[in-house]
Amino acid sequence: MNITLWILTVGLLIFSFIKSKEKTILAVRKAYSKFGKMLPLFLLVMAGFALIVTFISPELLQKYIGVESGIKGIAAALGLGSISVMPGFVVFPLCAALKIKGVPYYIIAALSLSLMNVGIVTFPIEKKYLGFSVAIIRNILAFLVCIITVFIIKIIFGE
Amino acid sequence: MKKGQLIYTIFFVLFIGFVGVSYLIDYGNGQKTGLVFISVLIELLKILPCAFVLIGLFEVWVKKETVMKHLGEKSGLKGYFGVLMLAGFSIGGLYVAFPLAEILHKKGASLKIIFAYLGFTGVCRIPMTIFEISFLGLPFTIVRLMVTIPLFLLIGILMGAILEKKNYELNELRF
Repeated sequence: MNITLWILTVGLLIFSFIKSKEKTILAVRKAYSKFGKMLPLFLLVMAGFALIVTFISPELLQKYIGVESGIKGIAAALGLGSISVMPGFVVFPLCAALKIKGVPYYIIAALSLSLMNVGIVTFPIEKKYLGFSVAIIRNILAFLVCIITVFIIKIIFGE
Repeated sequence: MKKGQLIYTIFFVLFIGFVGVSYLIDYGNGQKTGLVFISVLIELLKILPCAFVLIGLFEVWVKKETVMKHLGEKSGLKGYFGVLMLAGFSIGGLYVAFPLAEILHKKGASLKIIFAYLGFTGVCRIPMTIFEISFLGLPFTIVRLMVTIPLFLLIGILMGAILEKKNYELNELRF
């Protein structure tokens, strides 16, 4: 996956360079400046991420989610999912583990959807691009989407 | 140094201090935090340089007219389908989605389509979806996609329409 990406990028860079030296240099310069501007905030977000992964660990989530079902369970999963952030390769194995433990699909959906779509940790970056109020509204709406989806999944899978 | 940057630096120094002290006094969770930080950083550094170079090339080579034609006000359903595909193949999550959204905005993509794109990136990235299917099964994923995609489409259209009326501008990252 990563290698394909690098091959693609280098290939396009070479192609671009053959077409126009000036434009290619400009593109790399723009890339570098965008990356540089994001870096301080990015490092900080990563730091927050590392703290959360350590202190709100998958084991901890597993301990708290699945104890309660129904509305309480949904609220707990949505809340923890919104606060925490995790990469996909951590989220889904965790969800599968919860499923094996007998946690219903709708609770799992509440957790995975809010982990993916509502970002309190990434909010600083979002705020920089969208502005404070639009970023807040976007996250609230994404949260609503999570809630609606959870209830539809509850109805469809009938648990 | 601007105020914002100063605050980030202070927080980051505190974080490094926390990890450093954890190693000195052998505090397990602090050490783990440091390791997680390094490993996530390495994971993202494998992806982000490429993503930003690709965005740079996109900015330099793709004409404004092209973006306007395919993702502009008059692109219709095709535009939304286009960003759905774009989100499917997106890498690096929000760190890449926002800079890309900003460039698309600058090149004349409609705000409705941009906000739909930002919603889609959270729900239909292909590698993530395949991962989900293998762990939670196809029925779950299908239901999830069929509910979230229309909802994020609706949100994108609504937010875009309202913000267009307010002459909203997406910021380039500034400190």
